[in-house]
Amino acid sequence: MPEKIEGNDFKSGAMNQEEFIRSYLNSRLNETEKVEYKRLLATDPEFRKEVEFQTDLKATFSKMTGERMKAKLKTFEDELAPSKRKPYGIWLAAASVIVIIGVSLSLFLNNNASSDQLYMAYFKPYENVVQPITRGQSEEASKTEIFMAYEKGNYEKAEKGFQKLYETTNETYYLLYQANALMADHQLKKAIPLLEKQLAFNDEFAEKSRWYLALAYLKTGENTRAEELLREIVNKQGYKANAAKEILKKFE
Amino acid sequence: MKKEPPLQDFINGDDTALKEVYVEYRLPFINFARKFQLEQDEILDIYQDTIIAMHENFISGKVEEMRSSIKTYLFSIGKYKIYAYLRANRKMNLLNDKDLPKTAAQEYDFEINENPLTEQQVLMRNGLEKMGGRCRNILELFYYRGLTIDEMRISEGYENNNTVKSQKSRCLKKLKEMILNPER
Repeated sequence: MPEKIEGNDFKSGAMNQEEFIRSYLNSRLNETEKVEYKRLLATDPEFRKEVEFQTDLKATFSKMTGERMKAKLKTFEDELAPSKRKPYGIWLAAASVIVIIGVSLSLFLNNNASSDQLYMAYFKPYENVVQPITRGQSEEASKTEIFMAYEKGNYEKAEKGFQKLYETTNETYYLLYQANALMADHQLKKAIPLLEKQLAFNDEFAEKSRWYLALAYLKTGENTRAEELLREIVNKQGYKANAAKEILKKFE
Repeated sequence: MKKEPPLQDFINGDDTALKEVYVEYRLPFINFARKFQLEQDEILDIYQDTIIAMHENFISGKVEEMRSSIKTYLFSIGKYKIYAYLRANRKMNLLNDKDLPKTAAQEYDFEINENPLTEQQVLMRNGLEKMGGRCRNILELFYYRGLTIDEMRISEGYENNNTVKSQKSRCLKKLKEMILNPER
């Protein structure tokens, strides 16, 4: 703290006036001092000039510091998640390989599986149980086309399609498929609210949404929420109850 | 209880402490912000600005003493930042209006950093960037960080207070000259 300031005494030396203003800018003046500060600001042009100077200087340093910190934080972020886009791809490729070759999941599960690995081992886009892929009638054509894109792994197209289908039909299972397309396209953050919404309908597709939501939480590191959902799945003996039980064991 | 990252080092601008704070609350913040339906990139950007705002508030003495944990304080700033972001990006319909804080308390008021520099401030900045590191540092400690002459003598290893004072005056004079004659 600057030396004690009494009344107008600080004016006896330039140093004190400087510190008095600085103390104001750092919110260090008491109520009496603040009154004095305001009085001087209103009556003393020299004082006001000094206030303006210090205010500018402080704002300038603040800006420079903020920019320096921002640059640092971005570097930290890059170190933490160098992955952002690319490694997701690798991860997805690995996931498909596992699904396609059908490597036993227990391989992963016997080690100290991370949430990431668990997700990788268990996530497989929900299969098309809605639309048989046949050359059908024209009104069904776009639906077929969208499910075809989904089955072929064209998730971007499928995601947009499901969204439109949901908007036009209000069939809640489109939310589940849209979320699955997003998850397969590594956009977990967007998938989560859709699954939550689907789950809230509490219809026949809800148990699937619960499973995929649990996986999505696993992948995003929200293990507590994932665990809660997995327990619910096990208790309800619903869709994927055994798989949920396996994952829960890895948490213990 | 879990130990909090070293606050004083964070305030003093220590990079290790900055990183510690950043990493410590990153995931909880992401989870917290997600309910506002923000993208990961948006959340991280807001999170970084929140940390910078918290730092700024400590420097400006807006937080006299921490009555809560760093986390609670950080998140309360973060909440304002998220609202401001949603407002600016017209995503307000996602929010329940009654949850919104009407006015920001002093300790959450952190606009300084976001305003562009004025003409005068740009001249100042150019001057500061051109002058030597030691001079800039001494001005920063005094005018921005608010250290006393005593504190500056100790932290910068000066012989006595008079040396600090004369050094500071010299640097200040130099800065003022540079502002008046920016071309030099």
